Amino acid sequence: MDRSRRIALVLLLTLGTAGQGWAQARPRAPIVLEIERVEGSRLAGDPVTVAIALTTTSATPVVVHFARRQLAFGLNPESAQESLCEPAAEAREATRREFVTVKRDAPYRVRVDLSRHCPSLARVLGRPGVNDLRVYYDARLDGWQWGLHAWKGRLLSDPVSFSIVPRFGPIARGTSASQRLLVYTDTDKTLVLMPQTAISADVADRVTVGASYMADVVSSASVDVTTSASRRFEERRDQIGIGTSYAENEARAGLSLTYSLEPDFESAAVLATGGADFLERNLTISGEYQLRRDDLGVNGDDPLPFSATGHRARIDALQLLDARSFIQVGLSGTYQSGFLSNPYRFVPVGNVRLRERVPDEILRGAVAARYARLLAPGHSARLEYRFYLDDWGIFSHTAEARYHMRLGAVVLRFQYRFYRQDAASFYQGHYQTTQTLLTGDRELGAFTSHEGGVELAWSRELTGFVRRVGFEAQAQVLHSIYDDFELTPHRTSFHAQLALNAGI
Amino acid sequence: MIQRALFVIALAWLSGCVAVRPTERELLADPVMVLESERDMQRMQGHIYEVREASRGGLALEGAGCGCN
Repeated sequence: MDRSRRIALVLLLTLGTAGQGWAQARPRAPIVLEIERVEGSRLAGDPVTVAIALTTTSATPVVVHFARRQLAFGLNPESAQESLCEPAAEAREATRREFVTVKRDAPYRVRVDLSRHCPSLARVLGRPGVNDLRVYYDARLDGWQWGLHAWKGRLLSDPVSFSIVPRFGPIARGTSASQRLLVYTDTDKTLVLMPQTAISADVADRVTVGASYMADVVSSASVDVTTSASRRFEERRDQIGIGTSYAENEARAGLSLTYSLEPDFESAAVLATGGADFLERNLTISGEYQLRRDDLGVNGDDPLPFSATGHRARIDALQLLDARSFIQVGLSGTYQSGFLSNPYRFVPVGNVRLRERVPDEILRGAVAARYARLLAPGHSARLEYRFYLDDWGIFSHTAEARYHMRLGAVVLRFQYRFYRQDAASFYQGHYQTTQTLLTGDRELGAFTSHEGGVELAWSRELTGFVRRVGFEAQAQVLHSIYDDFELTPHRTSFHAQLALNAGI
Repeated sequence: MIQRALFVIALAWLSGCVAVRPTERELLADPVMVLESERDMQRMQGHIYEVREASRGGLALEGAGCGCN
């Protein structure tokens, strides 16, 4: 093939694949921009806030790309083109990213403090004869440059549209809170209650901080831990976490700390996360690294005699395939060293019981892939697969299928998950003679699990002080069949979650 | 020859990676496609898997997806 033909082939391939994006349908979806409310004092120099809403008549959500983010304010019909603040930085307040999603039943709302970004405005609004406020947004939608605009007439003479309302500081704006409860029970007579409270707030432009508290109350008679005494045990773990994150338009980073405490266990972990979007947000790369230190013993030990350290890293790539589907692939690895046994677990060897002894380090690796496709508006399917391997000889396959459907403001998610693992090289269902390494942990043996469940999520955007409320519920059944564990060849567990969340 | 073939494939793939323009994300913005909405629930569920299975690791529930806020 001569040089000119090769060049032609490269050009054809390039143009052909690049053209895939343009070949997609470009649905037309009308967008309306409205000023809903103007809040503030009539006194010059006081804060003035305008609440703006974007709505659509489209049945499916519309993503608006603000191509040229600006606001302009005309003061009266005769000077409608007059711009007091252009270009304006307040559009940052509109969205932290260039895209916003507008839904038919839940308009996208933004509140802009006019006086903050345009100091002269409040003084102008205080002048007699000012009777109009106009807002302009330049947005890109449906492949076209749109000039969205709205106006509120008779600004200073309408008591409804211009009233004095309480203002909330930057801590309050963007605050959200959630309360969650997980309940787990199984045929081992184990009962776990995990209530969790979390709160997060935008404390500065693009910076969010959060804190959480979780309790883990376990009551169990699990045979593989209590074989030494065959009695029921109860335990409570408290966990607190704090974190912060920073988000630019196409990049984000976060750092969080977690501390966990119970009478025989103490753990501290630091987690760093990061991610960035590329190729017009068609490709997202994200990753994380966690360092964790555990101290453990048995109840009454002071200080706790054993410790373990863990390093965990993960990297993911998500690529949009077309306007309906994406694929995600990822690699993760973990290295743990130190005391990795359970100090409460004893292993029957002949007629005696010996303490569990597993290797003092483990290297784990996993590769995973996820494919999601929108079958029709409001209906999507997802397939996931993970292969796992470690140097104790365990490898596993996890496959999951999900189907999501939307009914109005409610999203239902149906899930089936299959899991199969092989045993660690030193695992035996029954040890005849003592070995260097011994374990009675059925989770290190070979077994198969099937899990099915359903989730429900509902959320609603509001116009008052509370801007968003949501509710989530989940119910799952997990059944495990152990190849070589004499005490209990099967285990069935049921777990449920309930969550309430709200944002202001 | 192999280098040329790889160059052609890489060039074609990179240009094809921009499969969805910003204005064409209406369907990807559907709540049934947004990964982040499941993150908190699956984080709690992941705790159960860590206790009940020897395996660790997997994918994060985040990504460009709809590109929405």
